[in-house]
Amino acid sequence: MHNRLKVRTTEAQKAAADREKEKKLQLYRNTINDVFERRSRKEYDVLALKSSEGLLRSNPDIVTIWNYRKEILLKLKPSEEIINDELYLTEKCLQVNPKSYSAWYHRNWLLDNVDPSPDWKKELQLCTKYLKLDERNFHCWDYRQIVASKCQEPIENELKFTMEMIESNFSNYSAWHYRSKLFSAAGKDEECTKISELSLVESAAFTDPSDQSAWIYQRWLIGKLEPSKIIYKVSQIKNTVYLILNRNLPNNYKIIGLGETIWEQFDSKVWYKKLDNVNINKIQIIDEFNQVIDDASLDNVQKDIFNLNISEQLQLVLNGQLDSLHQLLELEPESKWALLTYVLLLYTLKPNNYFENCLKNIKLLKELDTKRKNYYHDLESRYKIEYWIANNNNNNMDDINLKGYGLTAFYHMHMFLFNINIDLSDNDLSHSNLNHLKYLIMCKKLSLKNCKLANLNNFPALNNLESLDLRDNQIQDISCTELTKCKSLKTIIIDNKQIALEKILQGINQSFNIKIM
Amino acid sequence: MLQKDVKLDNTSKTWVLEKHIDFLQSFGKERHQYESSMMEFLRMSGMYWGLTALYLINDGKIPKEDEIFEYIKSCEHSCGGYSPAPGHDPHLLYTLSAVQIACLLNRELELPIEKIVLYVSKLQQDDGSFTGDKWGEIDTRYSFCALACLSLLGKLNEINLVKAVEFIKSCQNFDGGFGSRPGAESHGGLIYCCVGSLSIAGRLDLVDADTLGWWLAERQLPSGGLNGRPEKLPDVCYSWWVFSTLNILGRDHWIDKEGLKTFILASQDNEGGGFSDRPGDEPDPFHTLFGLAALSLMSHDKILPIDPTYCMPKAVINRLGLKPQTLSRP
Repeated sequence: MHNRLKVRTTEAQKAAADREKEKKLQLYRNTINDVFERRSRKEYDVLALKSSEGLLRSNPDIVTIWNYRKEILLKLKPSEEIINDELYLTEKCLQVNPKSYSAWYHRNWLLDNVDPSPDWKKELQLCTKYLKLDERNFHCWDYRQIVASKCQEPIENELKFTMEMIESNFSNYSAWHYRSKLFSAAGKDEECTKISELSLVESAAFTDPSDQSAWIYQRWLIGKLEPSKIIYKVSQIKNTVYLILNRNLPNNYKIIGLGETIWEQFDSKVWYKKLDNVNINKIQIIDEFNQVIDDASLDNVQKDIFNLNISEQLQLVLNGQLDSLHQLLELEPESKWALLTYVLLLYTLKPNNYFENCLKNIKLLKELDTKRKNYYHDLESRYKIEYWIANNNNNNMDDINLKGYGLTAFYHMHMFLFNINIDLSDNDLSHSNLNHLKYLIMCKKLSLKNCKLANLNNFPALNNLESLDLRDNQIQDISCTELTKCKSLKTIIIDNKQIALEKILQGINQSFNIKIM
Repeated sequence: MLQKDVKLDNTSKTWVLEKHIDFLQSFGKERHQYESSMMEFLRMSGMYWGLTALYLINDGKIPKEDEIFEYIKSCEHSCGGYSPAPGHDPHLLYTLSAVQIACLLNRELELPIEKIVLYVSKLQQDDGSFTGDKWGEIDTRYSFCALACLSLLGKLNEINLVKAVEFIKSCQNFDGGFGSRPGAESHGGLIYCCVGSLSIAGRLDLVDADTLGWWLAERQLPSGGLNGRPEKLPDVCYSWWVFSTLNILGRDHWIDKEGLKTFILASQDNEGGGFSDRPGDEPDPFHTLFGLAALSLMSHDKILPIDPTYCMPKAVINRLGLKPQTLSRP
């Protein structure tokens, strides 16, 4: 039950209400029993239709009664008048409960199955009327899509309709959503659409910067941009060739190269192939039309792996938005949505000093929007790791140094698949899942010093790991048994406050060399 | 400007456990006869809400087990489906509720499993979707009902799971969320159904967890309560739909849990027990379950642990040997 205020009543009021309820209950029971009896007598006539109208008008959600009406209507071969009466009944029921799934469906079913010449155009007008009364009724929006496709309403007209709705109230997330669907259905030139939508949504968002509908739509428009490259690196370890991607391989893409055998996957971002005679030539990723999306040769690292594919024209538009956001933030420095969009745009366009600027503004967001501060922490971690990868990781580097980055989350660990010395010390990984370290299959030396770890739950089996630094953590429990899965692990470094840990580790594997530093 | 949140009064609400137990036990008794009759078209689900809630706060104990099981039997139809109440038609919604209640009672093996499986699998369409009953309404809610129902009975292999997953994927939207059908707007409840289905199917790789997780985190309002869509009022039931989805996606730390607890506790009826949609409204079993379930997921020492995918006690899901997929924190 929604939106029913609890009202305090006196004894007398309560007694009167109870009497009223008793009367209603009796009426309900008599009516529904009468209807059920008619149904069991297989009465499929107009009288039977009439008998259940009142029941539905007071409670449009009794599905079984609608079902009985469907049975009658199928048997009756109804006149136009009866069909119109039935449509009218659903309208009346929707006025009682505009969110009644069964009333909406009955209407749809009737036009689909009983009405010999359904007037879908009229139906579309009805949707328009209802949406003007209740602009966020998702039942009606969803029904409208069915209706629009039945009457083959041109997409242009539907776009115009969403525009009218948005103009009368920018805060109409349903309308923005419908636009996103209409554009993909139209298969329109993405670039053009994106540019015009960006300017539309900008004016909406600026009109009421606290309203989230337009901002979410804008975030999507910006976020739709994908990196131009997909292959981060191809490397060979013994007789296995590994292919590391910057994102999951889309279903319609295929990897080709290195013979006919298929590539196996570690997960959708890490692919490998075992070969006896490796003669590496080019590896390519192609789409369903055999268009080459990206290619790479052995040991070549793609440094711009997080740079997005932005045309000059779009770049111009986005730069304009960045400027306007800057101005808006001068007027309203505490507008969270403007600030967040500013950060996203900075990260997308990567102008000079973008990174420092992003971090500064994320810090502000954490203060302004405390409810979601952990989201911003994780976002910051992702940005920092991406920045590090883009600026440091080159061909022959063994070391990863993310010491003291304030990381709260693991992102892109699969890009460290080939690295040997990995320093993740001085971060806050207390709540992260250590299983993300499973990608570090070549790592020999790993530091988790001062990472606020309370346990080693889910620590993966790292076959090459030889040395692990666990100093300055509060690990006390037997989750350390996870370490026995690391077959080459010899040295574990702890500090002199971790006496209990030393005992635990010795108990688990006596051959561990435990260094106290 | 429309009101887009509620104000909580300053009085801190204390936890009224005994009253919640009384409130839940009173259903089926005289004093709720009117509500119970008027809502008989969904009674089987009503019982699932009430009994699950009771299980969670009453140490796993459910009174009148035999009577309840007899009621389920009285709603059984020859096609294998269950109706909400005797005299009403069978539907996937109530078939799931019947199976869930039987599992709570540890009596699911006494159900006509083969017939139920046949009923559910026949409702699957060529595109992988499910209709709620023979009249053909398609909705992702019914995908969840089908997958949950069959997996509880250990019969998930009896439907075309690949197609079922494909259909859910086709309902994904620009914001990472899901709607009731392809093209339909994202909505907290339907997102739970779709992500829950993918969790049962072990295909959470199809979810863009960061995009959806952020959108779900934005459902939290200054009051601490969660809404189901942008610019809507908070409601205790979204404490479950939205929060459990965040939990499944390993991103429930992206909202302020203390704030959410405060909102849920403020929606208790301190006098008669039970929870309502938002502070000050009439309580009902639906919101009582989803309020308690969300508190359970945030750990509460007086509430038994709940499974985020099935919205059933963890102990029951473990007994059935089910391991619905969840994602880890990033």
